[in-house]
Amino acid sequence: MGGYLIDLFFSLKGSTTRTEWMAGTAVIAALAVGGILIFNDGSFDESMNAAPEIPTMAAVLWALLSLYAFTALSAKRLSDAGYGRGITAALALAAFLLLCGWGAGYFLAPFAPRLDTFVFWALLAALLPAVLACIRSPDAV
Amino acid sequence: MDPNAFLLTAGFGLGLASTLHCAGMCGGIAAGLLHVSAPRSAAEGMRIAALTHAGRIASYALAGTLVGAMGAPAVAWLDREIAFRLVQWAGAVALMWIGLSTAGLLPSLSLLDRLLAPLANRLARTAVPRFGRYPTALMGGLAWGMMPCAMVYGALFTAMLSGSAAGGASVMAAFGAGTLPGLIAATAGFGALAAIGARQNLRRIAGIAIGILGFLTVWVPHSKTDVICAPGERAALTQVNVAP
Repeated sequence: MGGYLIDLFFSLKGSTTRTEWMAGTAVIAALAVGGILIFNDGSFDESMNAAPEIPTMAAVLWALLSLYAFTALSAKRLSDAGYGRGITAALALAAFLLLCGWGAGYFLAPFAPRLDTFVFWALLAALLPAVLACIRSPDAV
Repeated sequence: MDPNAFLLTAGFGLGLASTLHCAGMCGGIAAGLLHVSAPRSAAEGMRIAALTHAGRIASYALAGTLVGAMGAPAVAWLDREIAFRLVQWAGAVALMWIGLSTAGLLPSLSLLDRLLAPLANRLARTAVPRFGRYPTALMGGLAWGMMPCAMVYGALFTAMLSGSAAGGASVMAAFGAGTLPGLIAATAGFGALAAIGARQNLRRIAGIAIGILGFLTVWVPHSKTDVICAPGERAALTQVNVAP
């Protein structure tokens, strides 16, 4: 069981079904949000909270780890659906840039008329095709 | 803490954290280099082992000098607080990467491995014993230090953000010193340590523990580190970590 979970969330090789991807995504999202709520506590990281709106280093690191698990899971789903590595790379890169922007204090007001708002929605649009492919594509087997 | 002492501690800590990996991956190399030199006595064996490790650490320090010099302009351009955060980040990320890749959860830096492998092979060929035992041991150590290794890359990442060539060399020399206990044990024939390093479950537990330690470097509240900080250091941290 442990080996199966480690492969599911940390290996970039192999394939996975739509049900596994959805369940795995729900688990990663829950752990990511829970961890960010716990770790984004200013009393634990004063250095990053010199600017209070910026998330703590621990929260950003946790989010990056969650992103890696989501990328590994999605890589397997996209492989199962017959897509190449390019779409996985686009998903990972767009999500990584979103997290970096969030960690640096951008994208905190996604509807404000600012340049970073445009970048935020552009990055979201860039990762959408991969997410839709994961959801819609039927299982190979 | 004096900045130099901080760099040395960070590098040494990274080296110590790599003990199981080093014993598992390089234990054979360490014992093999000693065997190639064919020491005629225990004292000569110790001298050869010392020269081999000196060569390896010299390679690390040289690489640290190069990446430290490359990173220096970037760090100098940043203000002190941002540079401090970047170094803290680099240390945490390097330690977490070392831990989680040792545990097999994150990929190792295989691209760098492939890029550096030809250089390491060329150096290894020059270390064929034809110059006498001691120069051969030293050259073998130099070549060994150039061998592709994810742990070394993690330490080099920290060295790059040290802000100077000397700082980079310090981080890497301290890293090399931190790897000594495990490698000396492996060289001395403590096969059990290499065997422990090769066992999947133990590697996974040790790797996750190292990853958690890396994470704790950015999550433990500074107020809780008072017990290990002198009053002057607390004052320095207060200046750097401005309250919101």
